[in-house]
Amino acid sequence: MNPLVEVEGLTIEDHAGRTILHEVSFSVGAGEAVGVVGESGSGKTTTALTLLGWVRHGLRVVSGRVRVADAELTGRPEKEARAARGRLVAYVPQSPASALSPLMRVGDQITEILTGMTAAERAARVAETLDLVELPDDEDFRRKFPHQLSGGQQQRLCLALALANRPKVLVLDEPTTGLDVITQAAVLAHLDRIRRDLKVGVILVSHDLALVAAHTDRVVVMYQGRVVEAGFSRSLLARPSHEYTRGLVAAVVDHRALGGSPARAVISAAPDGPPAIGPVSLLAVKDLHASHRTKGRAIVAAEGISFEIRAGECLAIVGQSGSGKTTIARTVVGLHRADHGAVLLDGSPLPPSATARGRDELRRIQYIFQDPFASLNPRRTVGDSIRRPLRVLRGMPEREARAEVARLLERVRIRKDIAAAYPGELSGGECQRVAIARGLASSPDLLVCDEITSALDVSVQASVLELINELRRDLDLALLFISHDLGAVSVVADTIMVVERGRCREYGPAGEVLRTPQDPYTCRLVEAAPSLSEALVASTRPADGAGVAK
Amino acid sequence: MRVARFLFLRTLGGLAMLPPLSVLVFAAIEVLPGDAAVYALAGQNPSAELMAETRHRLGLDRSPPERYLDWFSGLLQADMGRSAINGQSVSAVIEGRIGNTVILGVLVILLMVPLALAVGVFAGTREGRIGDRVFSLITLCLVAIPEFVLAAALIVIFGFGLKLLPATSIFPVEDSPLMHPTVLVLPVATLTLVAASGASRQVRVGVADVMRSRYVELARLKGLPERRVVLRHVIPNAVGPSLQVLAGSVGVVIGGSVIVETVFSYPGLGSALAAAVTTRDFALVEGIVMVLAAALIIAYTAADLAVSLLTPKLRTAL
Repeated sequence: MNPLVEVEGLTIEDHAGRTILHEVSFSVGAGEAVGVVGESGSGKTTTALTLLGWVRHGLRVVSGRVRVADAELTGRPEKEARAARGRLVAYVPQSPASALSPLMRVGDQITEILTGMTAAERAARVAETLDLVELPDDEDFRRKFPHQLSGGQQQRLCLALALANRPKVLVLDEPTTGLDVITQAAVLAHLDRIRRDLKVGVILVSHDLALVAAHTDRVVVMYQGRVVEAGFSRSLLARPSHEYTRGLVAAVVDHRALGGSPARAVISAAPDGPPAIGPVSLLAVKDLHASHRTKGRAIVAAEGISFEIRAGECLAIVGQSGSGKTTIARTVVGLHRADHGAVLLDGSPLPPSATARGRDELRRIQYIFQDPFASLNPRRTVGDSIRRPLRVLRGMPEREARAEVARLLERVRIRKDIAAAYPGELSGGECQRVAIARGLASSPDLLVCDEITSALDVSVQASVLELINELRRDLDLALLFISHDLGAVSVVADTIMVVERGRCREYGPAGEVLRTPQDPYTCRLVEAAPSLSEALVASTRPADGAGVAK
Repeated sequence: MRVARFLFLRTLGGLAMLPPLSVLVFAAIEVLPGDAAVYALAGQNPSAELMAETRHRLGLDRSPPERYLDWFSGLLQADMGRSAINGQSVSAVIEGRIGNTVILGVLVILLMVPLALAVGVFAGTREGRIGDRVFSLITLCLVAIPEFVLAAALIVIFGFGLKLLPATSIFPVEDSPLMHPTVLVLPVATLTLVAASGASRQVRVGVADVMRSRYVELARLKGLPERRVVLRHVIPNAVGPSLQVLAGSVGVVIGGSVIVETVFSYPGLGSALAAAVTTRDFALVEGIVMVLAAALIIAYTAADLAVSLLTPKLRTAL
């Protein structure tokens, strides 16, 4: 019997004749999960979409074939390929928030794709499908619009849409990016169960190796449009043989493997423990209360938050999305006005609003944003963006500032000729380095980093974290590091504060919080965070022998 | 209840724009050279005393703020004053002509909205393909041509050349233009083409944007036929934002009516406004502009309300 999904020698070019996929081959058996990993631009998504007989605009299949359940999907007219979509093979997209049609109610979104059924059958199937993904099956919920659902619910709805016609194959494209770890763990556990119960073949596209190790049987590693390595997930990731895979595995930051993780070897702090931390507090936040008001309702973002950061110390604030961690950071830099409480720099209170702060106060605290593309002015060259704080906050003359820009770019380890480039010409990693260089330009004492690695590829994340540690060591910088990624936090933080709905749940040295969490919420968070080392030692359950990696 | 509150607040906001607008209109007439007295007495070779006396009669010898307050307090009592040229009451002039302009405007909007949506959706769903290029070129040309040139071209072709339609839209004062449908064809056609072209280009951009969205890609990946993707996922999502664009083209219609009515000698508010500006008939200009502005504010408020009700995200936030 042929495997459920067979991809053979698939080669795809773009309109300019550049090769996007080169001779990609793999197979997936019924009830089997295959992970496709690689960095952005490696062709993961293009590969996944061909399983639906879909090639994005501007691309074309040059050779090779895709067969699903003995049906040919490539080289067929759009109309025939469409018949397979949603019925034979279904797709779960990245970022469900933008993938759900905003004007359509939950129930209609599912009903829409059910064809050849009576109204009663359709209603029954909708109920069944909602139940399958553990979404409430009541009239009230079915009448909701996508924007009224939480991120986790939106993702479950996307899963429900994919499952509605009971397909044989499920293609998931980074299905959990944008979800916080606890929701992510729930969605993935769910997916495992559905795969077992319905015997569907699963293709899981992801850049998260920990997730792939824990939830797939086999893995295909892609690099620049080629499959560089394939095999059983856990054995391959435990002993990667290709150089690229080795680098990828080494770049994984793992909160479970403090000190012993492969990443720890790459991202080394100082040889003996963390950099020297001064005895006096640089920044102190006392009894902070903050909230967001919309339409008369107040949403609490911080309730009685207090912490201290000493010179050279890195405090990480960790929590789920909506926990208030970003608002706390924004209050520190004066972008959000606190309802109550004080922010003290060197013991003297800072004005609540950035516009009221003095030049030196502004200079000493700098902020680096989550999205590097959005935080750099697209109409300004990189050099201009970095020069501005030099000129405004440090009053540096033009010529000197130019030399300083070159030095800063070198400092963050990018070519200094990039100064003449616009942000649009740079990769995500380069943009984030530029943003860091801009943050460093004013030679601050405290750098506030808001989820600075979450928009980046794994390998890029690791190098940015390495850079952060290097800068701390060399410049004696203090950091306020906002993140939901416990792996990243484990690499940089000296102290961790866990927040949930604006309240501090646990506050203590990083090692203690991650290894022996006391608070039940922290326990859940640490438990839910994907960990490669744990996935590799856990149940080496045998993969279904339905197909062997090519 | 919340909808009623929203409607009330939006209407209040619209009304609040009228007083500042009245100041602008008054100031604009004030800075025009010459005054109503000169035009009222034109051809009489008036003596200096007669000029001064006429100015006094029209109140032109008082200071501008005084005259403004006088006029504005009249407005609040529904008295728009009298024409400086022939002494007719402004409300009577507006009453006599507003019906004709409403007929013209409503016909144009009834034709323009479906036309703009149809062309916009057609071109937007075919972005970059031949159908899109042809329509984009046509609408670009129509947007670039001033109304009076287009009107003149239509007159030359259909009025003088083919002799199918009257070149001017003159009809007895006591009649409704609907009793003489042929006089409406060319003015309506001119305004519709101009307004629909601009609006369709905006609709096209909105539709093309939605076509590129992730949810349209997902709709296709769900295996829906293209027709259904366009009808259920593209059009509803593109129409919401288009409503405001269409309300904006009501402004184009109102502005265009001044020109088109003048070119065709159509007895509406637009041609009356053009004539009143030439003779510096301040009371009449101010009265007509206030009426037109109110119409535009109503159009925008209606569009805002429709968008808020048609977009679930906005509706649930009300």
